[in-house]
Amino acid sequence: MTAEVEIRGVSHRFGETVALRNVTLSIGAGRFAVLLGPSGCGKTTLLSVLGGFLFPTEGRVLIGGRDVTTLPAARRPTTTVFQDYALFPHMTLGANVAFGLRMRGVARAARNARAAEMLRLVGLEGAFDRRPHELSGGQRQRVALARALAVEPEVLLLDEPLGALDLKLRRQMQEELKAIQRRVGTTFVHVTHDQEEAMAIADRIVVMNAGRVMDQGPPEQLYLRPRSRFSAAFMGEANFVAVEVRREGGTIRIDSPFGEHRLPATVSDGDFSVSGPAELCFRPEHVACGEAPEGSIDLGRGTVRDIAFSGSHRRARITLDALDGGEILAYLPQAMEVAADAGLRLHLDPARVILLPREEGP
Amino acid sequence: MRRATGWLAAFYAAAIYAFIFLPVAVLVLFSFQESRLPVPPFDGPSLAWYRAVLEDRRLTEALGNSLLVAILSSMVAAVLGFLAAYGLARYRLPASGLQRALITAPLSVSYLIIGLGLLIMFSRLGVPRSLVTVGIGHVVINLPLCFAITYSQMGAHQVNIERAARDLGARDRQVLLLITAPMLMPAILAGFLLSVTFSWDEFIIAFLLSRFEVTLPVEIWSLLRSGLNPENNAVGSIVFLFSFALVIVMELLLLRKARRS
Repeated sequence: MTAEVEIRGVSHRFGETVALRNVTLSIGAGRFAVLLGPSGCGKTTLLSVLGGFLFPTEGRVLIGGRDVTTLPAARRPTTTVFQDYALFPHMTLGANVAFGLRMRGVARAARNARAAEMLRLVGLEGAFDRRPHELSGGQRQRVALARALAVEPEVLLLDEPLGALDLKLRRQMQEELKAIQRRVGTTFVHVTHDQEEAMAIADRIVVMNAGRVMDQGPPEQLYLRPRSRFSAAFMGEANFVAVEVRREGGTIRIDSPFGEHRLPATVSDGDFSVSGPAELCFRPEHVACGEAPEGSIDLGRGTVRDIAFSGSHRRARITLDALDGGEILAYLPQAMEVAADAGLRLHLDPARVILLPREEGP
Repeated sequence: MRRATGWLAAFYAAAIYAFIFLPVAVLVLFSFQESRLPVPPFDGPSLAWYRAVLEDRRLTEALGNSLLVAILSSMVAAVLGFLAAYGLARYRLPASGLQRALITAPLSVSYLIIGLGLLIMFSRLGVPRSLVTVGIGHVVINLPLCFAITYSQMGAHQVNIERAARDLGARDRQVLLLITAPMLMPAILAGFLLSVTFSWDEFIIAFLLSRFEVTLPVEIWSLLRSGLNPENNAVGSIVFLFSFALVIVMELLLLRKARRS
């Protein structure tokens, strides 16, 4: 079963603190959505609002077109996978997984068969009679997933479910989660603060900060065409340079420390004014070395301050003459052996840069 | 020098344990006395006085009464203590700190005062003294204990487990019966077993609140008024053995649980 989720103008306050500010969001049926943001950004609060553990101060929540804003968790078509698994310690795994069906009055034989089937789905075949304390963290997480899916929810909510696992296991579970989601087709809403995890599993990422949705879209769009400085900085590493923009017909003219350039209008989705202060954003892997070819943005001369080998690339901090010694981050090719203090000429492909409205603070 | 301190420490420890356990050992030893007086020299061992206890109808009845009062009152105390702990741990109640303090307050009031208070109250209300009133008295003294033990074991981790149950469709009553109570069973059982041991050898309240049917400690007290007798030792040994067995059971039960989690 699956259903779309719609959040309309939801705000939530805990006493004086505002956890959610007018959040509006819709997640299509069968999607794997990830709420991504730093701790305290409101993502877990939003998940609790979806799950029926918190009732928002303002706004409405619709699941499958039905208004569920005031329904308690037990009567919503959602189930939650908790970060600490929250398995019932005194029950066998089978009884854990079958619990939801038992509450729905399903006969013992039928619910046990279903529980065994769900355990098989998460790769714990034959563990029906074992108890939670005999399992490892990853196995417990699988049981929690099986338990939540056994009742065929329309929407599955996952509250940082992989947070307690080690890196290797986390990667493996990410793949499994994605595969299971494709198999069951249920809408998944997953909360994490790990942008790599978000990119690995989501087909839609919602970036949140300070109780607001900052940006949303498929991982690729969010990374390559972020719509806010916050999401550009949160989704991987990025460089920001202050520029002035002027719109001229189908192109945008920018006046930057690197000179004047014409960029195609596609570099910005921002709705900032036609002319004014903006920020030129570019990813470290888009900084190229060598003489600037025709049509590129010439960053001029730079000096390598610090360089570290990171496997697939070399991560370098480089000061640019054009920025009066201002520093940028660049991923230089793996094969390029550069010593610290070396001088380099750098340039950028204008099709790769992003223009963002200038914001206060980082 | 070090050797001397070692000996001194060993002697000190032996003296402490002797001080604690010698009276019990003497009591148990002279319950096997052959002759009529429980004083040295020991001329046993003999089970004659145990037979006398088991043939004494008043004693066996009192023993039955004690068991009944201990088990029923402890069950009531454990259930009420658990419910109170659940309410105070899971819901935001007005003045919950004060309510907690009020529930545990009887722990610091002497049994004599509690017994007297109940005696006055029951006679005012016209409730005749019986095993029921004794049981009520024992609930009064044991409920705070059961509450405190259960409350101390209610953590934030279980809140999420209860949420998960609710999320899967369990109603409040089902959460309480199927999730919370089984999860806290070690604490509830510990409270119950401790209550049984306290109720089992409680004298003052049982003495003040009983009339025709009495519990074992009250019966022993009336036996003692007619002088020392190895039969008293025998029945005392039985009381001690029962309490001791309960403590062992509790220890095993709780240790086993602790190792598991």
